Amino acid sequence: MANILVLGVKVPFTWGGQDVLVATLIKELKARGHLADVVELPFQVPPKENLLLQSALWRALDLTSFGGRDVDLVIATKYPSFYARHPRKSLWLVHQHRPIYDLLAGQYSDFSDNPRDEAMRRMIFTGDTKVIGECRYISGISKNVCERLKAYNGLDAEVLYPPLPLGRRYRSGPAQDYILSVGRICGIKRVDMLIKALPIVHQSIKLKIVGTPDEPDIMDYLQNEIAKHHLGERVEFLGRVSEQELIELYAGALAVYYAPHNEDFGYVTLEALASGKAVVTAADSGGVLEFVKDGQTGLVVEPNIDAIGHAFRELAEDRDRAAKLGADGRAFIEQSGFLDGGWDQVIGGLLSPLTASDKLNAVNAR
Amino acid sequence: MTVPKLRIAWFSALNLGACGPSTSGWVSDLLLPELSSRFEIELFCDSFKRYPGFATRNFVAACERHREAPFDLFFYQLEDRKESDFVRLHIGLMPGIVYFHDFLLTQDGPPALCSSRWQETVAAFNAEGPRLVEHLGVTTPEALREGALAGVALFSDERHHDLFRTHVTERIGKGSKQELIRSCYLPFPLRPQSLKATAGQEICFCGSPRIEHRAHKMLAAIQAVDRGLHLHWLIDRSERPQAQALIKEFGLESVELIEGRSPSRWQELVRHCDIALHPLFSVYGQTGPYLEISLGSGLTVISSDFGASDYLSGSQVYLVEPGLTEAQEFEAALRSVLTGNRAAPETIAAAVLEQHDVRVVADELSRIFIDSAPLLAELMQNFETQITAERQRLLAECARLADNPPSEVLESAFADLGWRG
Repeated sequence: MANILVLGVKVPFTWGGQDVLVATLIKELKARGHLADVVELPFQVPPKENLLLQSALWRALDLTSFGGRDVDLVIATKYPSFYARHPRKSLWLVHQHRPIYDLLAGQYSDFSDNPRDEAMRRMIFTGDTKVIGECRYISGISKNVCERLKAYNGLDAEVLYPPLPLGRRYRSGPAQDYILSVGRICGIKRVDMLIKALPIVHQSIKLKIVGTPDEPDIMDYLQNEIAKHHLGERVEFLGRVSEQELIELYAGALAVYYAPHNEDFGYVTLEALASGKAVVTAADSGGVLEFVKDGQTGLVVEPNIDAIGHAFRELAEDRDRAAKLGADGRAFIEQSGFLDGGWDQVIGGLLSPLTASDKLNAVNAR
Repeated sequence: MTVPKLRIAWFSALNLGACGPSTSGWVSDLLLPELSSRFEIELFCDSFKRYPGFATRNFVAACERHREAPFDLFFYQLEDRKESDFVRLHIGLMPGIVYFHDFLLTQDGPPALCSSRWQETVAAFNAEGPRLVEHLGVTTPEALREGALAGVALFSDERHHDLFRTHVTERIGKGSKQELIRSCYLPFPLRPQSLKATAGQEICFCGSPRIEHRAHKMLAAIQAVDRGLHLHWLIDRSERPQAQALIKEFGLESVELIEGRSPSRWQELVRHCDIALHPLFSVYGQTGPYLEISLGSGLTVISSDFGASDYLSGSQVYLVEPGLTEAQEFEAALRSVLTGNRAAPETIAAAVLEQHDVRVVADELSRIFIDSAPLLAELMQNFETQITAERQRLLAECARLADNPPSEVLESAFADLGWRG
């Protein structure tokens, strides 16, 4: 058994996919008899200059031993945790700092062409290539994330999809008159598009939004849109809900909306499919499209208000179709094995730098 | 002794897989085969896909690639499409030759770009930064920022070149080391086509059903001529309902709607047609490359006498005055053409190919590449110096931000990450 540190990056007062991933990974490592713990540093931007400092701070940490225990392996997850130095470092990449990669030159990046930004971008780019390149095992949480790493930094990575945290507990129930949106509430998740699209959908259909805001003023903006379109009676913000509540919300939804811009992976997609619900997503939603196929397990539409509105209207008017898409989604999830764990494969990959002899040495040394 | 070929970083929207609507993609398809033996070209685009026959990378990795195997020059194609946003950004990151297919932009571009302190970059070009900012403080549809950042500016539209000369070079050129940014008109490339032996009566149109493309005037003219004319109308998929409504309004029966507007689709379509209609009435409007494609295929062209049409010779096309009498003028022009008052296809094609033949354009662009390389090398070096200075400033600030741990710990991390050198 090995001493393992999972390196997480925490945005205080928020909870998202990254937090779920770190918590469940530690739980699964412990279940397999490893001594596992988490090391997290808070992540804060802006100002952008903080990125360099936070990368350097991770780099400066000594993670080789604590309290007389040698650390056999560290598992890095999200930028900048992979800047940590350790002779045996595994990477399960959630994402790099996207504003300098796939979001660059688009509306979600704050990096411009001025020399200061460019100097910073180049430093992070070369830093990433170096510190990820030194990992003994490199993987990513989706095909999308691995393709980015290959295209930008020239590094190969293995795809290790995160298993569904609640496994077979997801269930399907009769569709009620609401659309469900789950996830952090921020610009790139594009909850605003659904709110603006709601007037196109029959007014008996309501919208339930699960998740907490993680951008300043975003709730003011959304509330303003709700007031402007007279949707006060139709939109409900539920905040963070318990596991059981989430299962019930999925089970009763007409369909699930999940259309972020170029999502890395997106637990929500798999949770919705596992709950037998059709997913409406966008053609530029990245990792979501690894699971949602247009007309098979959901609807893939252009990322605009009209297209999203008409997609939900179609599902609201043809409940049989919505149910069929959902049932096919559940069948897909059953076949792909997502409901039955998959942790052995994930942990097998992440722990591969601990070869048999390494493991033996670690035990002997102790 | 063989002279090493110039290494060129080619930034453009590309046709990766299907032929897209972008002009840059079309121009790349034509020029790349002509230039590939003369230069060492690597392509950069906003995709992970590969363009057949060429090393293709995502633009994010361009500076790293430049560090590994330096380029002699960066070549950019810019147009008024979202797919060009990455080009707009990179023009500021690495000075180069910019081939403008649009100079009037309908969108501001990415927010970070709009608020960037790019005047610092301009100042690095030894231009008068503050004066430039003073001028550009006003919202304007002209691509002034991109124009000012271009090391060499090429225009596929003569009207845009004129706008550039009056709006950019006059403002920032004086007092600069460059004096005036080098600029010239570089026509759209066209590949010579096999022409129809005799001209018939098939009509084609590629404008949108929106008012600026004057479809209502053109359809009125066709209705008035009423000789069983057949119209092939190339549209975008989203325009179908509006186009159908217009066709119904004018009671036309012989109209074929073809979806998927792109230069290559138009090239395919005009092969079977005889008369092309290019009406236009918009401040953004320009003729290319569709009108040039029509002429290059030997079609008789009827166009609005507006905007970029000013640069067309009356002997090449029928020019129609936009406005109240526009439909009647179209009708008259159509009647005239249909009664045989038109030049032979080979005459029309020969006139336009004199300038637009892809071999001629490729030769011209090759000369521009070779002539501009020394100037661009100097500009790139200036920019790199500025980046290095910024890096040192950033590291100093970063060390100051950290009270704990002490700065020597960070220094060691900086050195380890290669940020110092």
